[in-house]
Amino acid sequence: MGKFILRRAAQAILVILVATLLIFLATFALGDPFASTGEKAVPPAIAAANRAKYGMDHSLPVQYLTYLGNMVRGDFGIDFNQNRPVSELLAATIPNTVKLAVAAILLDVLIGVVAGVIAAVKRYSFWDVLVTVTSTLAIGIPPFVIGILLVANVSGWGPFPPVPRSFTVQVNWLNELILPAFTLAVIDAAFIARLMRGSMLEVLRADFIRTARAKGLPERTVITKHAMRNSLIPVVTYVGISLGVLFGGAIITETIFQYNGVGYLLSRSIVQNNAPVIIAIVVFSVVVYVLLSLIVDILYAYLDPRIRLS
Amino acid sequence: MSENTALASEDVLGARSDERRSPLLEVKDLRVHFNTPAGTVKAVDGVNWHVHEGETLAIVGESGSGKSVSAMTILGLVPSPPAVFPSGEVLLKGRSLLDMPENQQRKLRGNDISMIFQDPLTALNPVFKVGDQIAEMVRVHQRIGKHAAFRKAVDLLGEVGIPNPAVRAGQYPHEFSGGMRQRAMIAMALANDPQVLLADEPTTALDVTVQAQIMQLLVDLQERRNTAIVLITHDLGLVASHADRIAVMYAGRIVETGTTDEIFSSPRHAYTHGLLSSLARMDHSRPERLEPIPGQPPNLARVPQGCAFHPRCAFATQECIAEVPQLVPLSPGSGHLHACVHPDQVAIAHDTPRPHAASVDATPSTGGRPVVEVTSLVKHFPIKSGVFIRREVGAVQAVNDISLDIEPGTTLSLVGESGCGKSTAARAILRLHEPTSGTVRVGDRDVTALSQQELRRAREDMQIVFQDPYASLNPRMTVRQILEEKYELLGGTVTDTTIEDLLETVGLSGEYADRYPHEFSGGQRQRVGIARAIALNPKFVVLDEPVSALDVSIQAQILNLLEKLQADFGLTYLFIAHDLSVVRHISDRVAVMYLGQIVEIADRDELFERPQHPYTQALISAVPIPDPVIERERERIVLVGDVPNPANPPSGCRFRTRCWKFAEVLSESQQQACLEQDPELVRHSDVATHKAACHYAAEREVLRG
Repeated sequence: MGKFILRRAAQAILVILVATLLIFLATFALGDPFASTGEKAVPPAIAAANRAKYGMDHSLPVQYLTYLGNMVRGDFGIDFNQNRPVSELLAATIPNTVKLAVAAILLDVLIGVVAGVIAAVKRYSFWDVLVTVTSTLAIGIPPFVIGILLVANVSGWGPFPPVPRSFTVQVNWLNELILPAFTLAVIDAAFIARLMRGSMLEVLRADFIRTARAKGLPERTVITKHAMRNSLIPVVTYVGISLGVLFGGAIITETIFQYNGVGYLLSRSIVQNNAPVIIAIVVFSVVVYVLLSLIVDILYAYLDPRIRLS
Repeated sequence: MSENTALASEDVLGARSDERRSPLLEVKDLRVHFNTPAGTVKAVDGVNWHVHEGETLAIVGESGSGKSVSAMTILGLVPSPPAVFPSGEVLLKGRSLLDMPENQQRKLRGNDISMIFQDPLTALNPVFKVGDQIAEMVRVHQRIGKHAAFRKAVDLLGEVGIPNPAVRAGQYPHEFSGGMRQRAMIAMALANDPQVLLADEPTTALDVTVQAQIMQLLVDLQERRNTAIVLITHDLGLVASHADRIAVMYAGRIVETGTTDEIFSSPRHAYTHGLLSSLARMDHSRPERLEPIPGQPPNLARVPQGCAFHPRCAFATQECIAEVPQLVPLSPGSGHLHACVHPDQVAIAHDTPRPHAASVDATPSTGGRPVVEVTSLVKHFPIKSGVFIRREVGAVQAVNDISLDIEPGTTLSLVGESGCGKSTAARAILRLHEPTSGTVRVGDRDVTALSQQELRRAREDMQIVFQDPYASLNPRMTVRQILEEKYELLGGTVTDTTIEDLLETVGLSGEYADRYPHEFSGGQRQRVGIARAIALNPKFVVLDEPVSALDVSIQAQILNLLEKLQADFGLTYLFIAHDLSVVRHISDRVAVMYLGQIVEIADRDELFERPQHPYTQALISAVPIPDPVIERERERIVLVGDVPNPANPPSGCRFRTRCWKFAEVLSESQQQACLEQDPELVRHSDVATHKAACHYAAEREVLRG
């Protein structure tokens, strides 16, 4: 197991290196921001001075290493819009995004697993049909439709803050969280319900379930103890991916609700052409994604002892 | 006065003996039907049986005969719907089970009646420790603490013969071998001292040597605890040695029942007789021609009118179709019941000796130049390890230096337990696995020296039939496409009648050419697999367990077909099998493999009558013979433990860790040779063709008593 984690960690570092290199090449190396032609061309001496100021007179490998080194120290540069350190912007938004992601995942795992188990155990019953039809519907509707509907009809009502909103008005974090979390959870819950139903149906046909029944265990124990743990693996995979995506910022949902998270920050930065922020967020989401998939692999091993050995 | 007393005491005696005879578990007129879109499937249709304390009742039948469903119904494990129970009663010591509320029925499950299943691989939950799974069984039915239950689980594992039970209890099922998993299942089933044990094909998924261990364990436990065992199986050999009484099922009904001796010595139902005559016998010096039951078991949604067996029965008359025959006693008051209209004809047929199989007339050694010559074949699979750089740290020595010749038109069988390397050897011979070293010559070609293109051309001479007829045919291609592909690949010409002729050669109607594999039964699919192999008149065909996935009556059909094809086309077979009865029937020569090596090779009769290697002797002695009279006389050599890991074989003789001779007969100084030297495959008697790889090879009679 230690070896396995070590190997996966090495792979993770490799992925992060490749990702940062690609981002670096895409933004820094392609084109020179100080090159200009025509009447109002910047004099070569000034352009050279600018390049020297931003370290662009060094060779590409040196520039890349500097960029990596700064990043490791938490220095992502200064944003173009407000002239604040990018790390400060991230520090203000990441906790909000994490809260939103965790809330959404908890909600969709809870709804999805319960609905999936009920649908599988009571196959072909009213409840199964209800779950199947509702989940198809939820997957079919794009999330922004649900988001916009909620913004138009629910936001500003009761405890929920109105949209568009001002960040100077203090709102209880839970109140501003609920609607976007629900929006995000709807689709994931539907996916999880379907995954859970499918894998549960398969597990319920397994011989060891028959053994559990032959032991004289109550049906409830058969389902919750013997069947559920074996059915959870596909769900864990899905939740891992989904959490990775959400941590990197739920761009559409956060923007619709003007929720002060990484996703909303990213969408504003794209509009403003705010390169340092964009780069920082992309790197952040790659790192988070890689770490989460490592955690998912470790969780597999916990759920299924057969994976521990190989 | 004295007369009255005598009468009274007789009554008492009668009553007492009646009470003693009153069965522990009784099934009365049980019917289990499934409502499906295709119609009502009558899986169990009016079945009666009973079992006493300490007794073993065997329920015998082919797949789909309803034998498992009737047992599962007793435990309430048949889901309803889709199942319905039109009639039936199950009485445990007089208490009726089926109409009990679910929570009371549940308390009996695993407590008074418990069950072990066919496949120990899938019957244990992979995510829980074995000890916890057994402890759970204890805790459902007994008021006992968590730790006490776990300690009980450890004790139980010890009782069923698992070494190091305290450690083993903390392991997961995948860390157990197949035999140990079945032992764990048995430990679980016995945890609450049940009165009845339902054993559904308990050894079908296991090797014969492990089967012998498990059956011995069940016999010992039965003696100690006086448990009633219901043994559900298709294996008549197993039944002959382990059952007290037998019920034979066909198409959801019991067609004959009686004591084991009655059923084997004087069957009165045509189906029972058919089953017995389609069985290959390991103990017959000259194999008899197998008489397969034609056709296949009926679809239970459309059971034939009258006697369900009549479409396959040689004795069938109008009477058989008129109405369903009921079970009647052979003689008044007899416990031997049959439901056959023609018991007398069956009796005559059973007493008529059968002709010998064609294969015995061929002399094993023709002296001709071998078609296949394998020299020092080795196949190792590397094991890699390391965090960043994957180094080779060892090898699974699947096939370790085997040599053999097969003469034209003969059959060499390669036998051994699972994991002995027999299938890997066969595949390496055909270069389906690239051999690590060694040479293989087929006909005039050195197969191991061919380039990939030449190898493809050489495949017209060497073909293979696979074990699983369900997985080895592409479900999206028709039979015609499957067979024509063969000609396209290997360059044969297909005329309008080629495919039809080919199908008729393997006993299928030419009209079947445009059907898809799922429209065929297992036996028919295997015929298609055989047709594919023989399509281009190969010289050499590898048969990799071709009948082990089939029912007994169908096995005989396929074996007869293989023999006929060999006689007609002069084919040379390499037959891979674990079933020694089949091997004795079909082979000319037999090679026994253990842990990647050939430990003994001889002509068929020589090997079975005068085995020299202790492993061969144990293997033969472990195979039950379908004859209770012989079985009572036979001595069984029960091997201890499991096959060692082929990545790390024992030093010296590979078999010594499980060898009965090493453990019981040899002195310490004699054992030295076994520990240090790998014995060579050499001649030990005056028969030149008989070789064994043992330092202390000696004959031992294991076939008969």
